[in-house]
Amino acid sequence: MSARVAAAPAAGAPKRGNFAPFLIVLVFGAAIFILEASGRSAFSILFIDPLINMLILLNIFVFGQFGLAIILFTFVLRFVTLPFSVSQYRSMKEMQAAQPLLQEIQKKYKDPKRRQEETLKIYREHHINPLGCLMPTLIQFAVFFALYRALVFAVGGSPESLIGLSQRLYPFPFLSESIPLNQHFLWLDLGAKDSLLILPALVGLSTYIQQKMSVTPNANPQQQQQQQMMAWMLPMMLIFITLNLPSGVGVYWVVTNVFSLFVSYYVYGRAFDWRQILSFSPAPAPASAAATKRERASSRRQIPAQNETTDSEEPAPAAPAPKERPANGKRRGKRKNRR
Amino acid sequence: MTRRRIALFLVPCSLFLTTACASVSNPEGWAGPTLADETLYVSIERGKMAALDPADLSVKWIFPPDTKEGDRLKLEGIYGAPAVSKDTVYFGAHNGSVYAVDAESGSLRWTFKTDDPVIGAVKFADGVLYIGSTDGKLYTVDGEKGTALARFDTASSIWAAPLVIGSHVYLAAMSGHVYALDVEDLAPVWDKKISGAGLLLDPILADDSTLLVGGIDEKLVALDPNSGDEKWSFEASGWFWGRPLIDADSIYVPNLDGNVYALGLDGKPKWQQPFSALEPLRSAPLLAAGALIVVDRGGAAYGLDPTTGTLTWGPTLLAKTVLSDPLLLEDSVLIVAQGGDLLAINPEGGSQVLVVAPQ
Repeated sequence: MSARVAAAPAAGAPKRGNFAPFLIVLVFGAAIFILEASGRSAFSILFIDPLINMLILLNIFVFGQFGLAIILFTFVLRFVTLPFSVSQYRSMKEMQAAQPLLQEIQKKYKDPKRRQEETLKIYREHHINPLGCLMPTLIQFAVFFALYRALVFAVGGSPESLIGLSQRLYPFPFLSESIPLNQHFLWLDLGAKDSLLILPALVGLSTYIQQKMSVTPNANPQQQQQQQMMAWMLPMMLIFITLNLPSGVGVYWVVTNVFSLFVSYYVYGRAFDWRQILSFSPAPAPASAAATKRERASSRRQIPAQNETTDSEEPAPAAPAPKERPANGKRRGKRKNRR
Repeated sequence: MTRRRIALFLVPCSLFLTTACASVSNPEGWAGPTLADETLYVSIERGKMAALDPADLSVKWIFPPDTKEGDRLKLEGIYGAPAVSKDTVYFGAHNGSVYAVDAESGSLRWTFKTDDPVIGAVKFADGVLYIGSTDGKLYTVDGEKGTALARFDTASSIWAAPLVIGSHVYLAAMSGHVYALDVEDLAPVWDKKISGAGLLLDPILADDSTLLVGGIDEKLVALDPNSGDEKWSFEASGWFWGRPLIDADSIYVPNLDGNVYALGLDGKPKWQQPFSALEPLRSAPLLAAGALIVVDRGGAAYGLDPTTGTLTWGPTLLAKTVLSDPLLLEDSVLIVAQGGDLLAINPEGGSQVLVVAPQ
């Protein structure tokens, strides 16, 4: 544990890794400004055009099966963003473990500033990044939109879209030799809507399962209700949207969801209750009664003298750092026992 | 935290809804107008062919008609200019069918179905209709009855219109092959692979000994129509998809790189530099009133000096997307914009004389 504490950055000290997103945003911002100032569409040049050409390149590797190219592209993208995704899921898992502590802070501290300080302290101790999910989500949606536009040009299903493609293709003979792309994949026309409605159903189902797996169990009934609503709303919305999009985008979405399911399983492992997927009731609070007792005992150690603390009072000196991270999987416990 | 999550959901959801509204790209068609027997045949609406009186552009008939039966025929988009023979108008549609329609009444005579969209124009010669389909096959069909006579499979895709000259049919395929076929039974006379990329340009004869083809590999290639041997090639920086204009010993060819190139019959450039339009050029150029008229995709029309390629008038901004070939109609140039609006410009000064949505 002492090693962990030593490894953790000092409070308030900026972590080197934290600059990476800002640096990315800065570089992209500068590129967008330069391109827009020169009268060209930055989104097209930075996202859509590279994506179109990458998809066509992958199409060559999979022998002209553009559906397989989309699947291959999705895997490549998900592997590249895997560190973000894993950190997102880990953050959610930590958040789940910290829920009882956070709720107690909400109850005990009336002063918002103090409450925020204590919440941040919990975040630090549990290595929770509240904005951890932002980067994967942003990447996901940027790719989704770029892919949508790319598919409209690449397999838009009309000769007009081929003229658009001619303006976006990089001047390499091996790319132009792949045109026009094979639009047929399984029962789908990748440039058109799925008239059989199988793909929208798959998108809805996979999104529902993925939502259920990644939802953070919550003790607050109101929040449980909101989560439950989201678990239904998002799949329904995606079904409706997939009905109106080229099937290629739906293929991307289904593969992304399946990949996310595996990542979820890797992170949550046995901690995840598969029966929860079939349950229509909200996700339960994170711990059983016994576990809650343990959590409370742990939180008593972590939140200094919270039972007695009021907004006006100074908290008692912080208790020694906890000896174990609560609800954080078996491995660390085992390692500790070995020591 | 919950509010943040809801916000995180709401942002992508609203973006999603925007995407949903955008939907897929639908084929609209870019069939150019055809004048035959005092009637103008033109696609004035997505997936509809109309016969107009060229004098006042009044509508004689529209196919498919606005009836229950007509509504069931979803043509999706018409790309090739219609072929007209005596009393029948033939045209292919993006839904994969070719329609033969009575030229006088607009009633359907017969339909011929192919497996994939028909993009290139159909050609009629000696009672036979020649149909190239993106299913990769060239079909010959009896013009009277609509029954299949013969077929030739390229094992690829055909986007260009066939060219029927004498006893040969010339065919350019997306595999990069050019075929000369026997007009009777479609047996191959010669077959040359001239490119690794697709051929989009309708084969056209520049003179008796020069057959022009081109497409995605950005080359215009001249072949000997008798042997298929390459005579010369000219490289641009975009795809060749617009029909070249042949005038005496000059070839004026538009390109999707936005340039018009003037070449001699030997493939050498005739202008000091090509003329650059604002946007890609799919429409064929046209000579009228001593000017070479070109219209780019953005609807900008230009009048050029055909000998030097310098701008004599324009651009006249039509504020419409234009992909179809223009037609010289009496003393004005008729242009069909995407969506079916008819535009006319004066070839002498480029002034726009009318914008019509035919009634």
